[in-house]
Amino acid sequence: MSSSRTDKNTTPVPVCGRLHTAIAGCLAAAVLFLSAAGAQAAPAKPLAPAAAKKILRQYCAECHGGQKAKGGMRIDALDLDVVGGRHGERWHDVLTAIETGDMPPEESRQLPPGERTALAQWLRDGLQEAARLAQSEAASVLRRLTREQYTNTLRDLLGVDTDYTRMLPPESPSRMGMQNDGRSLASSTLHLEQTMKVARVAVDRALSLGDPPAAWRFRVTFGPQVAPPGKPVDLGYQAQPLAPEQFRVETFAGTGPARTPTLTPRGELRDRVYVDLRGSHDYDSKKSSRRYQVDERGLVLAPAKPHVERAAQIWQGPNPNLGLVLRDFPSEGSFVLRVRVARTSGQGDSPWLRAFVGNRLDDGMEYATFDRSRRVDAPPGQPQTIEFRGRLENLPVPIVDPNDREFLSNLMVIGVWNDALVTQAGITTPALAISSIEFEGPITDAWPSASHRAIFFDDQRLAEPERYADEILERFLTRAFRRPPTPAQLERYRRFFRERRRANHPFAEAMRDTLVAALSSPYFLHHFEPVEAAAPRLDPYALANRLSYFLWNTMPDEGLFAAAREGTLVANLEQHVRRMLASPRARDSFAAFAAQWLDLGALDRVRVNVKKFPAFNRFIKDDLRTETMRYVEWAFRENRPLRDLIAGDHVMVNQNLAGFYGVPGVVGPEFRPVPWHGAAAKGGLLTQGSFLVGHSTGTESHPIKRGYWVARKLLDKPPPPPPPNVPEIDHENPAIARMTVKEQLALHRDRDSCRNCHKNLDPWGLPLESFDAQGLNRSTIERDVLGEKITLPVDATSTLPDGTEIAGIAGLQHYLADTRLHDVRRAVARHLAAYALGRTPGFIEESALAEICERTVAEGDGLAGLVVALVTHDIFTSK
Amino acid sequence: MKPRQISRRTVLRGLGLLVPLPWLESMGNAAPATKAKRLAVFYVPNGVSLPPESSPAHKQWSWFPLGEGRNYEFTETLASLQPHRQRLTILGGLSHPRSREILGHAAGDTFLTGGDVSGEYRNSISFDQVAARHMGRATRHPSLVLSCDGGIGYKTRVSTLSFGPGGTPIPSESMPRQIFERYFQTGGTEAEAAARRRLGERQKVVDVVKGDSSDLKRQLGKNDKERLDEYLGVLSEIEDRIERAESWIGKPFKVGDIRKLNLDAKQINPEEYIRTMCDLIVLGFQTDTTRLVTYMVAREDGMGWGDQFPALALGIKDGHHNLSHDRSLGAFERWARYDQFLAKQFAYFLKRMTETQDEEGSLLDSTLVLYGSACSTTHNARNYPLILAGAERLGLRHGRYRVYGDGVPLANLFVAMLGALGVKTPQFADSTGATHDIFSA
Repeated sequence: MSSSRTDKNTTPVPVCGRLHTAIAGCLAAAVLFLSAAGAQAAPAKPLAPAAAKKILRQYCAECHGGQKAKGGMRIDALDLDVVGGRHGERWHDVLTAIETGDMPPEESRQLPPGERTALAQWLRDGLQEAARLAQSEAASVLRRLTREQYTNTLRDLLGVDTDYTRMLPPESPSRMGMQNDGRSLASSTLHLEQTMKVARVAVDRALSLGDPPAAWRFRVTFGPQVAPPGKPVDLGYQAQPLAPEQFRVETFAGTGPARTPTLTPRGELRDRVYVDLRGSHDYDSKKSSRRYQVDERGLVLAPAKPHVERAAQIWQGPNPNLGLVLRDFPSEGSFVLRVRVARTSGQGDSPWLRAFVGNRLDDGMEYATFDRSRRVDAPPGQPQTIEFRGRLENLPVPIVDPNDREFLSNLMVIGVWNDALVTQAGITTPALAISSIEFEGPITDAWPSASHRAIFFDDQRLAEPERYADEILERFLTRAFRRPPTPAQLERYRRFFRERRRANHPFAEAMRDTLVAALSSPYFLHHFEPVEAAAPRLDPYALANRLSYFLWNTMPDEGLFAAAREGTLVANLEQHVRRMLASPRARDSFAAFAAQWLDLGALDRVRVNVKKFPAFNRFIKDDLRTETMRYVEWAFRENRPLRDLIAGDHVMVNQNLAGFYGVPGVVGPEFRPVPWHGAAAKGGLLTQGSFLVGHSTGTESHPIKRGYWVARKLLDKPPPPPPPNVPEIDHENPAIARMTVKEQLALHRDRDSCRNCHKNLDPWGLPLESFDAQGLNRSTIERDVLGEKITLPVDATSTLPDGTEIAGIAGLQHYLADTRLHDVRRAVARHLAAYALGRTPGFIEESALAEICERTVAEGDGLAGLVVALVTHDIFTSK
Repeated sequence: MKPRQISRRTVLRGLGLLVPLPWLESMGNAAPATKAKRLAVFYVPNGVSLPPESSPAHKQWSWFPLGEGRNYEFTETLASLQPHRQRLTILGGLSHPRSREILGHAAGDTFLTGGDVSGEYRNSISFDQVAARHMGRATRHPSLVLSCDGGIGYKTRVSTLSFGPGGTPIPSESMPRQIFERYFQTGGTEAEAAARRRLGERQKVVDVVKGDSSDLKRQLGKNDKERLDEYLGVLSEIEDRIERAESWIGKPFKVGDIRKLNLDAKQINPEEYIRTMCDLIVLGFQTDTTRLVTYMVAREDGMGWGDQFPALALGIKDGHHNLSHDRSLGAFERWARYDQFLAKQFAYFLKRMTETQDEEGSLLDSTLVLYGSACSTTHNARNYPLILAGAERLGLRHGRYRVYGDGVPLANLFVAMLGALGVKTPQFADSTGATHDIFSA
């Protein structure tokens, strides 16, 4: 029963159960749509609140009153003052349910047409008035930088690319999934204490105070007899150390001070550096089939097999991988790894080289790659040098415990593998010959560094220390606060600086402390969005800030600052958007938007059953995540038609993922859009594994989760929360275990308590039954029932909530892209607006969303057009 | 065993603060403390000897008792705990679901965290540190993290039980004298002045930030003011922390009993060493220096001093890790004799905790004590051998051998323990509820 055990450990299949806990409240159809519907209705006499109350009590309170609050709705607890009360959103839900005919449910007593119209009219009038009054309230709230924004901002402010996200607590997402929503972003002591700590470290890293750091410099050369022979050192469980004669370790000269390596009593450098090819074996084959060797060409690495996914085992890296195992190493700063490498054959596809840093664990290796993968073009015998650069503090170097003298403790691993991953037939990549590897770090561009000189911009000015300090402060605070500091603010920091000076701190140290203090200011940590004197329009700096964090997820660049300063930003918004979309910085922001909108975190919450799906190797999950991020980014940047999100004719793949999906002819590790006209459905978000796997159990598909995702993310129609004590389907019952998922779902749709919600949920997931839990097409369903393997047919037909009958993914794509594209457009617009504004758009902003959608259509219905329509709308340029 | 001594130097340096008088006699000069709730965790590596029922050694040497419920019987392994039987519960069947499949030694990393190190290494905060965030400010030190080898070790073979937010390992202390000097003595004027200066500088940063905040507040509308108030609340809490930290500097220690302390104890004499560490924990509680202690008695997988303990203490030839793999004749008994040795040291701790009093009664009555391992037996990260003792004043009801099913994650116990400590949290790690049945409160 291996598969059922995996289920228990990851996501159980109860029909409601855990899924329900994730279902948030609902906010459904558009006021626009409702207004149109209202216009068609006969004018009715305005209803008095008491009369409305009577109707509600008569037709709704049975299920939505007192202790019985179905779907979380208690109508008798709502404030009958629709206009001035605090339940606008809830009344909007009520109106939606009545207008769409969802309520009362079929089996209950129905509202007579007259009363239905009157009640709806009463709600509509009240809500429209409320929307008008509340327009000024629909403002973004003061919100702090998310941890991603914070670390990106520090990078651009200080000029050092250190990732500080891991030092800060994760954000809790809003109901729409956004992590930058002002109402869910909490401040905590942990958060502020950590940011204060980070501020100090970050400023220190940017400045060159004291002496330049001494660098570790050594070179490892490979060959059959390049050093005296000996016995390989024992590097523990599963190690594959090279023999001492196969590698030579030596130091080399560089510019700047060198760190003298700590030598062993024998005085040998090679006792501080070992070479290990741990992980370079086939886990599933008993016979030794080495994919590396040492010969005259150096260390020869065959194209790596991706790390086989093994449940509950720690990473070993792909097979083969070459690791230098270091006893002494720096723990932070920039470093460079220089690899002398050549192809072993001029024939075949290009090999690629990938670099990684990690630390030795007893049962494997914790590691992360750094820099880009590089293509190797050097012909046999004429190696080229490839430089990989990174920052050690961003990588999993061991946290050194000087107290731990175990031989296998505190070992850092740095190395490379041949990145033309072998997953498909017909790939003819040759092996790579590594002749030597050099490590140098920490390195600095200069001393003082460029980041130091960006702050202390002119040492000549030290002759007038007071004025120089003022200017440094003004420059820095303007960038840190994303607006010029007020005179009072400037004075406050000036005083702080002078106090430090009086306490005998040197100029640079006193300034360092002052800058650190500024990085804890609410002006730095928050998005401050003041409006212009007369209008609700944002002031130019606030607009530049909002635009920058929307499209780049970081602080404005000099171009935006200049436009804000000169007052030209509003007039040239569209140009700025185009420029910003074209910048590489847009990648970060659209990746973040895709991850939050589409809930890519779901992928991390599923453990794929690798016994059932052996092709799901360890790189597939990362690739699936990247696929969706890059696809969304590409679609927005390239102004792809909106319908590409549903039914595109491109897939975004690299070689590894292409092999998994069965897309032929894709070579190399870089992601790219590939035109796709294959037989099996591909293209668009619905066929991407990040969604299909993320909303499965890891063993089986999960139509409810998938349906919920479609309803929520692509149609923005989330169902209400479930009632308490939802009965679960008994999967231990053999009769049920043998049913198709569709038959199982039919079981609960026979229950009154489930049907009303699930009729709007399950039909969206059922057409995707032709995709298994690893996100690939299937023609039959294989299941293990109490040890017996059974095969069931795939049934991907579905009756949608509006009665349309569709079949399979093609049917769903066709329906969404042709019949419901306006709903999809609105859903995308609403999520994009939430991300851009840092708040959840309320019902009073439906007309704004409608205008944005209209303009998008008018401009050709492209996704970049949607961004322009949003950014140039009042909703974005006003508070 | 050698008689325990305190060096003359220790007395001279420590005694000004730690008068060796029982608590009652010096009650007159003690400030009334809030009712203390405490936690002590002991970890032993490599699992325990569990001869199968088919083995003749089962009845004599199985770590887990025979029978279940109230009428269980200790084997010789835990027999030394008999006097404390009504003050403890033996727990069976518990484990961390996410660590069940991994090679048992790495499960030690997640003993108090329930983190997931099964695929990518993702450890998380340990529950004692969750408690420390809530309770830590009431004492001079939020927690005391001890081990046999000190430091943090390395991932999958850690040398600490405690992890901060994000799963950052917290370095442990292992040298009795260092522990005493670092945690139970005030630092001397120079160190104190440096600490004051550091805190003063932090306060100045807070002052500047407060200035910016009130500027900002004037520029904000009503809704935004509320958001800023949240930030200001956090800021004043940080100020409060700075003040508290300052208030401890130079403040005399509460009276504790150091007559039995042997600060020269070394790992080479395991019994003396472990008991000294126990004495230090008791002292920490008695003086209310800390209310949270974790102690990794030895490290997993034959790392560090602990592997030699069976040889050093009992003359058993093999290292502890090898013992746990040995399947030769008599191996279960050899291994169990070391389990028995560890249980005796634990019994010593319970005895001292029972005898030592605070304002409310015995220290044990207000202290949750957890003892155990992250493997039942060789490499098997299920059915952890666990003992929960003490804390009857916090609502615990003892006297049973309680066996849980596979469906109850160990984190459920931690949620209940946090609750007993006054830290109400609905969830910890992968908990699905709380094991309330041994907690009457």
